[in-house]
Amino acid sequence: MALNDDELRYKNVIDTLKSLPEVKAPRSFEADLMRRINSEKFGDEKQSFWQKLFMPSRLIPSAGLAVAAVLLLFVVNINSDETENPLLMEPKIREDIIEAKNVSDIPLGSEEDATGRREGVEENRISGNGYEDTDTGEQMSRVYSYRANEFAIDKEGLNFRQVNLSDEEKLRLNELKEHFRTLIKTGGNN
Amino acid sequence: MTDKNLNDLSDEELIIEFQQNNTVKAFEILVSRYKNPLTNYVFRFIGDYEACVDIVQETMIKVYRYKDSYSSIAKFSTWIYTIAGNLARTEYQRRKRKKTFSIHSYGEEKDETYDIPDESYRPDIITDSGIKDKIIQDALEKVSKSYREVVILRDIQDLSYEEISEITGLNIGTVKSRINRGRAQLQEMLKDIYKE
Repeated sequence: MALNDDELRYKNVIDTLKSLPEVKAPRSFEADLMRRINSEKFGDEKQSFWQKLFMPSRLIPSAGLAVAAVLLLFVVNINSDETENPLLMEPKIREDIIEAKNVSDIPLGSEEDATGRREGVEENRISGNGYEDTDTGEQMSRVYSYRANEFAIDKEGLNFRQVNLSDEEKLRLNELKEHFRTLIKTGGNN
Repeated sequence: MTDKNLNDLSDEELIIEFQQNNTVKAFEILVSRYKNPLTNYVFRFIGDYEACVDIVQETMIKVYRYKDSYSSIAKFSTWIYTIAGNLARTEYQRRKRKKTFSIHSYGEEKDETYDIPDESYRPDIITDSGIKDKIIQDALEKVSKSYREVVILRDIQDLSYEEISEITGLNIGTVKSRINRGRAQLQEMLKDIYKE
């Protein structure tokens, strides 16, 4: 091969370098190499995607987390029957009340029963609501009569639970009513 | 495929055989073909025989591991020299930072390293005929690293400018320029030899 100008200029250097003996690998080179390759075991075993995904070292923390989540849900579900959020509970339908869209739907009694209704209202007022009235008896009667006329309600139309009292129980009840009337008149001062 | 047939294959055919059929024998043939040229190349660059053998072994291991990364577009020799060159440069940088010097590379302890006596040429063993070689090697190691590599590839390994350009990643003009500068430095350092 013809030498170019540079190679002619440096011919002695090039010849000197070419005269160097070739440095060779040791005789045990290939044996040592294959021993290293076989001991490290790379390049032959390719793990599939699924093998990599389900490697134990990768699986353990995620499996532990999954187990903890299942346990937590189980515990929460066990307790869920005991504690219900009252705000989310639907009210139970009462069967002992009437359904009426307006007052006119409620069946009313006749005027002849006004006295009885007055008493009934009075009973209701006294017995039910913790109401304390400081008016005189006359005012009370006017209130009662007004209320009796305006809200004349027949017991027959209401779904009161009927309780049959004995004579002794009725007597005791009347005594209690008298006592409360007295209290109201005196202003509750004992 | 028989061993005789494998020996008849080119380097590129052997690596393809290794890639497709995992024929370890094909790999072993490539190792036997390139172990000495690569050892020579890396030793002339590093100057330490033990480190040089390690680097060449690492090169072969990388060929074994990453055989599928070789593309038949390039020559196999270019690919393997690139791997060896990268490893040699890394080792050179590491030595430069540490500033370590191997006592073995100058033959002060002859029989320590190898278990099996090796009758082949040993650059770390000083003989009468080896003194001149040692002087040349010392001079070569004093040449700038970037010039030294291309001078070795061109004037010792007999590679073409195109192959050197592919191995080093430099354009051909830069390759030629660096080769000449390296030769000039060597000529200055070896002028006393040329006077003899």
